[in-house]
Amino acid sequence: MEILIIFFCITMLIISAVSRIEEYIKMLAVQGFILFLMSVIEFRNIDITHFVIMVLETLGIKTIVMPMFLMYIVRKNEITRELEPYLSNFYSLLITTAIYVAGLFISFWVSGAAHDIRPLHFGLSIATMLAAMFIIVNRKKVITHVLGYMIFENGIFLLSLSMAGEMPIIVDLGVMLDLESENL
Amino acid sequence: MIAFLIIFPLAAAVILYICKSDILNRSVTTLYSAIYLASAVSFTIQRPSDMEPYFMVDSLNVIFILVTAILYFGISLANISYFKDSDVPVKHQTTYYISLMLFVFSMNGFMLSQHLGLNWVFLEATTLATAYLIYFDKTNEALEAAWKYIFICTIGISFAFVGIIFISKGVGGSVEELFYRSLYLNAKSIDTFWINIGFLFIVLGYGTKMGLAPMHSWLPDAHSEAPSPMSAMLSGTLLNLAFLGILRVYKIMLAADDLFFAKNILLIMGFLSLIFSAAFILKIKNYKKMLAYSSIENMGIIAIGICIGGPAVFAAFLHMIGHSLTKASFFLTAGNILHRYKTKESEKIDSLMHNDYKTGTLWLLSFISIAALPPFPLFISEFMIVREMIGQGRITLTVIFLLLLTIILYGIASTIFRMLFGNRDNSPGEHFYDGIFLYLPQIMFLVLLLIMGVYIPEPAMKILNDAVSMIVPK
Repeated sequence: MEILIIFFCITMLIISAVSRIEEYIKMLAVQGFILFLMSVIEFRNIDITHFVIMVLETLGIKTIVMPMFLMYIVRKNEITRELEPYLSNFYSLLITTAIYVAGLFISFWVSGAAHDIRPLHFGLSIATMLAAMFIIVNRKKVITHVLGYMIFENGIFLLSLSMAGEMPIIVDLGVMLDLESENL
Repeated sequence: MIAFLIIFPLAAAVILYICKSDILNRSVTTLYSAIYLASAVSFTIQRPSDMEPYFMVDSLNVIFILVTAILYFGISLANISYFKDSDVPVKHQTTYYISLMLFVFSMNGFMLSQHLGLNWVFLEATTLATAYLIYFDKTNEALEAAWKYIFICTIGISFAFVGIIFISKGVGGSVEELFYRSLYLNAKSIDTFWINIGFLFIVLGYGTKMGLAPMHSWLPDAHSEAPSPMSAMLSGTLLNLAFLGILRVYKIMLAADDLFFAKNILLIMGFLSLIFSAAFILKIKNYKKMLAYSSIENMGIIAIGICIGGPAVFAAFLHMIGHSLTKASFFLTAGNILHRYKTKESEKIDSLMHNDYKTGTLWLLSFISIAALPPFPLFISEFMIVREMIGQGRITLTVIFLLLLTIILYGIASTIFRMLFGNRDNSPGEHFYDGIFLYLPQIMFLVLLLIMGVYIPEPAMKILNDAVSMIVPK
């Protein structure tokens, strides 16, 4: 379980360091798959309808449908790389790392207070949301903003995993789809 | 009754989609607005209970329903002549009316719902329903505004969702626990850590929708690009809705006896809103954008009123009503000006009074109201807030507050007066539609404002006091 969240953080670091948009989308798919594995391990004992919905959401939408759709848009519009982000890749890697260190501190902080949650997931999910906000602020292209928002959603999903028992709501993904079609 | 109010717009949207008829579009929306207004008034006397516990009328939301109903009625009247001499095809007009219906549907759902999660879903629905309305003119600026609106509001709403996760964690994670009634009952037993962090995220999220700084950046563009009746609707009703959402959560904090944090967050955001609008309003060349900044300012004042507490809470509610009616009248008049001059740049317009005294007078009266001059109710509300601030000994805060308001007033006044006065004959020669519905809604709003400013009738006073008693400590 812990190894998965470490992989998740690695994908975030890769996203902050590369500039090819197709690379982002691949990482997004990887994140979706990691979330799928995590939720399968987490929710072994829930009833079948919830399980199916969850698998559809993580494996179906987050891992397959959305990345393919984004890839289709990227190819159709011939967007290849994120030109000139406001900060260079090196600095954004540094900043993302700093955000994750802060996330670890949050983990330590909540683990002391016994709030009945998984501290590591909690801290790192908050860091993921912050890192996603940073990606949105730092990049200029609309497609990267959308990707940033998807990562933000993954952060929320991770957060709800940290609070065992909370079912992530699918509504947001529907919204996301709307966003895409409206824009492009 | 509630079921009817919620289902009617959905059914109407389907019918409009199938028929695509100009007359049907206008008559159905106007008919619904009249029914809506009548039922909103009836709610103040008799509260229906047909969809408990999910949808209910209570002392807090009845006031919001009433304001929304009055505004929607006026704006439906304005809509009757909005497309009179435009070349927008009927198909697009129909989409406009359908979006309006869906917008009203989601607003109804939001105001009436008594469940934190349900509330959130409907707020997201308002974003989706209004996106098309902002993009309606189909210019590049409108596309940018609509995109900014959806994107920033969706992120805001996601923040609110995180806040809801925190609060639901605090109450034990079951869906039934998220009914406001049970949240208020159990508030004392919720871990303060969860409730505070949840409040922070929800205020950030709903605050985005309310237009509080620093998450306000979508608002000026969206309100200036939308068709004028829709700007009036967005500014007069949608911002209030987000405010209602914040109040609901604020009440949880109140019930948990943990107001210190909540008050300070709202106070900071309120003052930031004033600072941002004061900074930008002086340089604005687009008069609709200027009105949008003024909305940010007024939302800031409302948030400040809630934090100051005491009589200022009453003032905040009064201010909300006054602002909604004024801003609707303002935006509709701005629509008339845009219709006449075909430009949103204030520098290209002068001698409005000379060329079109009817629009000019409405523009001037709306200005007097937003400037919080007597006899309009905004004067009373701002006066009460300032008096309460001084009464609590917050002198520095009062000075900053008044200074910022003065700067904003100067910014608005200089634009408005430049547009109003002069003797140049610059009326565009071409023919344009002129009819009663271009003026009637504004007159209706201004008369209501005057009545409220001079004497608040007993029933209205009772509604206001009931709402206030919901969110002041006993």
